[in-house]
Amino acid sequence: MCGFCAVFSGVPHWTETASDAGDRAVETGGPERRISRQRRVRLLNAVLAHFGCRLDDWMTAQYLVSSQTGRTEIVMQLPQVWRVVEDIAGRAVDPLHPELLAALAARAGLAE
Amino acid sequence: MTACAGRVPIIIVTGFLGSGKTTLLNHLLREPALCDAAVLVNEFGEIGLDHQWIEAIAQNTVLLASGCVCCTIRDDLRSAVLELQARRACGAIPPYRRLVIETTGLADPAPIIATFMSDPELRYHYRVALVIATVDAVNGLAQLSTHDESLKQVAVADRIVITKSDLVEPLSTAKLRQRLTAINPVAEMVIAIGGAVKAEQLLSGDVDIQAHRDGEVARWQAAAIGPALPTHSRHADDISAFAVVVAEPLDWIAFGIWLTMLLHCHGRKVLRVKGMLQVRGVDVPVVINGVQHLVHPPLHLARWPDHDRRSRIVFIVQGLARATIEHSLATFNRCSALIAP
Repeated sequence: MCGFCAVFSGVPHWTETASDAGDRAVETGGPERRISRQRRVRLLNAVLAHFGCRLDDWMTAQYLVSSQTGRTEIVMQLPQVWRVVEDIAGRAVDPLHPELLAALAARAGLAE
Repeated sequence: MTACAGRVPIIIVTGFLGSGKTTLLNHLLREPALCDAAVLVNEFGEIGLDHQWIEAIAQNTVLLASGCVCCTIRDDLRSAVLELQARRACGAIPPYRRLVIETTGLADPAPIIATFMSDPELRYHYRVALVIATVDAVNGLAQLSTHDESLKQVAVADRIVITKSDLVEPLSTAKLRQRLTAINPVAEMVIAIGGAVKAEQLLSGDVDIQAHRDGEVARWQAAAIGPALPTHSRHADDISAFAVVVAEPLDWIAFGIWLTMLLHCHGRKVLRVKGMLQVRGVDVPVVINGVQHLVHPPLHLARWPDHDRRSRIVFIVQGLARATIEHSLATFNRCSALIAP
C-alpha cells in the first residue's frame, strides 16, 4: 500500500508480470513499468473509443474508466476494465466482433 | 515471489463417477514422490483411501462478483486448506510437500483452480501445479458423449489417465485415445494398469518446475504443429482444439489486452489456452497457460528449443472458430504500431 495516498496495489495481474514490456525486471517496478502502463493505456483507449469510453492511469496503480457522460469508475486490473466498459456501453465487449476489428484496423491504418 | 518458490504444489485429481480416481490415488500415494502429500477429498467413496492426512470437504460455493461459474470460489475448500495449513503450522500434522485434491465425479475443476488463484492467502502458500483426469476405458466414450462434466474434466487436464483398459479390447482403448486427443491434444495420456501409474510420468506435467518445463512445453508444441489437431469440429458447439501459429513477434501489451478481452467475453468457451510466444524484445520464449478466465503468471524457457521462432498457441474451445481468433489476434498485434515506443 502506498504510504501517502493509501492505495492498495494488490497482486499484480498476469499481464503486468514477468514479460511486461519485454523486460523481466519490470515486475520490480521502476520507470519501465510506467512506460509500459502508458503504452497499455494508449492502446486501451484505441479499443475503448469503439465503446464510447476512455481510460486514464491513476497513480500507476489503478485505472479510471470514463463514459462520454462523465460516469467514472476506478478499477485495478484489465478484466475489471472490460466489465465496466460492458456495463457502460450496454453491449458485449467482444474482441472477435468484425466491427471492432474493422475500426481498429482503420485507426491503425491497416488494410483489412 | 517467483512462480513457485516455497509454495506447496496442488494436484487436482478429477474424473467422472467410477472412473478410478480413488484407485489411482491409492497407488500414487504409496510412491516416494507423493508419500508426504496431504489429501483433500470431496466425499468418501466406496473404496477407502488409505492415507494418513485425509480430509473431507463439503460443497459450499461463493460466487465472485464477476458472476461466472468457472470463477466460483469454493469457500469450503478455502476453509479446509487454511485449517490444514494451521494444523501444519502448529505441528498437529507433519509438514506436507504437496496437496492432492480429489474432486467429485461431477465436479468442474475450474472453480477449484479459481479458489487458489484469486484468494491472496491461498495464493501466497499454494499454487495449482497439475490437473489429472481419469477416464474409464469401459464407459469413457459414452460418458464423453452424454455428460458435459466429463468433457470439461478432460479438456482442462494436463494429464489423462485411462483406467480399466484391461477390461476392454485394445481397439476400444485406441478409439477412446483418439477421441481424447481430439478434445485435448496437449495432455499426455497414460494407461493405468490396475490403477498403477508412475508418479513421475504425471508430475512431469508441472511446468513451474524448471527441470520439467522444456520437455513439457516441447510436447505442447509438437501437438500444436502435429497432425493430431483436427481443423474443424462436427458441430458448432463441440469442444475442439486447434493451434494458432503467428510468425511475427507478439507485442506483450497488445497480447495481454487481447487475451483478457477474449477471456472476459468468451471465457466459458475457451476451456484451455497453452502456448509458447515470441514476444517482441524478449530473447527467450514466454510460456502462457490458462484455464477459462484464469491465466497462470507467464513463465520463460531458458532458450528456444529450435530455429522455429513462431508463436504457437493451442486453444481448446467450445464453438469458436480458429480463423476468427487468428484474425482478431493479428489485428490487435498489428495495432501495437499505434503505441510504438
